[in-house]
Amino acid sequence: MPVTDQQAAALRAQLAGDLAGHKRLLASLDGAADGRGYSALLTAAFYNAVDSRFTRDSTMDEVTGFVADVRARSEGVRDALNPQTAERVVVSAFTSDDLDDLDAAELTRTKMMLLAAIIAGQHLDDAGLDEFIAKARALADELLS
Amino acid sequence: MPVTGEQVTALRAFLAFDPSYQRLAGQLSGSGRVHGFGELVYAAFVTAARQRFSPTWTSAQVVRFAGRLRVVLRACDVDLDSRAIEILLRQALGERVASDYDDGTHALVMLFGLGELVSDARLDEGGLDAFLADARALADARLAARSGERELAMSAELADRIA
Repeated sequence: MPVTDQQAAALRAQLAGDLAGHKRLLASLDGAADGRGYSALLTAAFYNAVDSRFTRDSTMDEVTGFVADVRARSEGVRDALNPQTAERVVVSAFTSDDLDDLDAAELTRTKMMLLAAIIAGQHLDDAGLDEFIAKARALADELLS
Repeated sequence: MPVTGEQVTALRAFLAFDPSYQRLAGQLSGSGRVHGFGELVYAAFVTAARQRFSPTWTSAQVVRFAGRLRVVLRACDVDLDSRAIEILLRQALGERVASDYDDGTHALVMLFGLGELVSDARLDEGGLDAFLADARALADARLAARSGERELAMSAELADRIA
């Protein structure tokens, strides 16, 4: 089953900084039915975001600096984002390294926080965010098919 | 027992990139005269952190310093967890935060963190002497106030790491 409008709207709200809207839309999703689609959408959005922020020539030092910049934004982000894990998750977008040893909740949280940080840094307008979500949705549908 | 001149000389050599530091630390480690060295390194780390981040500090400054140190050490094939660096720095700066890292990691963070802090401070000979005098005074005060069992183990660990 492809990504639904509601799943896309929930992620868009999060990336637009509309946390209340994000929570409301998430709460309206059916955990069992929507979980797979939303997870695929998040993963696809994360891959696309990392691909726009880094290249295959990017160094580990750049990744470390990026993660430090993200974690420097607040004490809450610092404590919620393990730097070693975050570096691994960023690198995995290029290398397809196995992340099976990571806790599923931590992996999702890490992707979400890094994704939000990358998108915030791009200062997308509404149209730009719509385009980003549309591309992520298309990739997620491929992953789900 | 207070910090000895031999211990200060060994740490000074380490901080000044003097090649004799390996011999000096090795002598300390193998001689039974290591007690107090761990406290000296810790006190130097605390002193350097407070000088670097005083009079006020932010979480962002500590996180960025830790990330930068991780990058610097990677070039030396040292893989040090940024979070461990942050926690020990925050402790040094007076924040009550627990560390879930082992003594070996603590030793590496203190040595490499201290080295980077002192290197960044660009101290001249007199400045390094004054810095070590401050650290020694803090270490002596701490040694006088605590029992020696854990300190001895830490001293041996640090001397072995340097050697």
